[in-house]
Amino acid sequence: MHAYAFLSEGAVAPLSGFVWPRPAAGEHGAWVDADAAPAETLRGCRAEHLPYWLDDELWRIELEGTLRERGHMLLAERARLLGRIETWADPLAWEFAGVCARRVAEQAATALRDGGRADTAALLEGAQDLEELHSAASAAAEHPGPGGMLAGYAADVCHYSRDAGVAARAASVAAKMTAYALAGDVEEPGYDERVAKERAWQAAWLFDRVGL
Amino acid sequence: MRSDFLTCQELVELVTEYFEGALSPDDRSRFEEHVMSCPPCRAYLEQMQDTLRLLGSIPEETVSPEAEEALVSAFRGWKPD
Repeated sequence: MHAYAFLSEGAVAPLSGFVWPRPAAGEHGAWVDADAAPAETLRGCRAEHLPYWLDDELWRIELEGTLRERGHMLLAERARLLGRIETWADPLAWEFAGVCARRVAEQAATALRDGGRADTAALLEGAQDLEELHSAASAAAEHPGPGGMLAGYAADVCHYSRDAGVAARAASVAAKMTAYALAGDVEEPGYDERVAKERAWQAAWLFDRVGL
Repeated sequence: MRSDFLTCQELVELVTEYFEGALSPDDRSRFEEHVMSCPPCRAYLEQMQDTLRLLGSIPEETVSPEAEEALVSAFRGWKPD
């Protein structure tokens, strides 16, 4: 089965530190058996689960043997790297972080308009990058009500993304925080479904922009 | 409710069980997903992995008999509060 795997720089498995054999030009990487790698290192994910595993490098991977699906990952008995997907790179990761933050800011702007704060909403919508959005959202968060609360979430997404420093980590933080922020009240029925819906939107964005 | 949610504090509490492979499959998934989207927890896990790797590379015989005896004596005399 063909799947996707996010790895750290140098084709390193992020959780185990295993260094994958990289494919030579025009070829596939060498097969790795389960007993030649740390436990549960031979894994990939489906396209719809990409946002859960964002990291520096995105690879196509082939999984063989009995497959186990656990959470948002696929575990295999044997695997090999097929090739790196070069379109997933720092600029796109930063763009994705910005897109996530902007989705929260858009909801905040709508709520602020509903609350009679069209001027503040316009400032949020006019922000050009994460830094500007952070400033505008932090100021808007001062307003009471749902618009201010959502603006506070947008400010948090910007803050923690920038704080992550590394593009892929900024993207992963932004994606998770955005999914939780847009899902609303955790005590309201359907919270998990709302989180999953936003994750699905993120996966579709990645699928399209990475060009999978 | 958040079936996939794990706080940073919960992750720290679960890290030993994670390394020992003692987490349930669901908890292991939640643990790993949290790590991959939380840079501070990821740094913490990497530090723990480095520590385990370094400690695991110290052979037993690098402790001198005198040091070993001193340690054993210290533990013999130790009483919890």
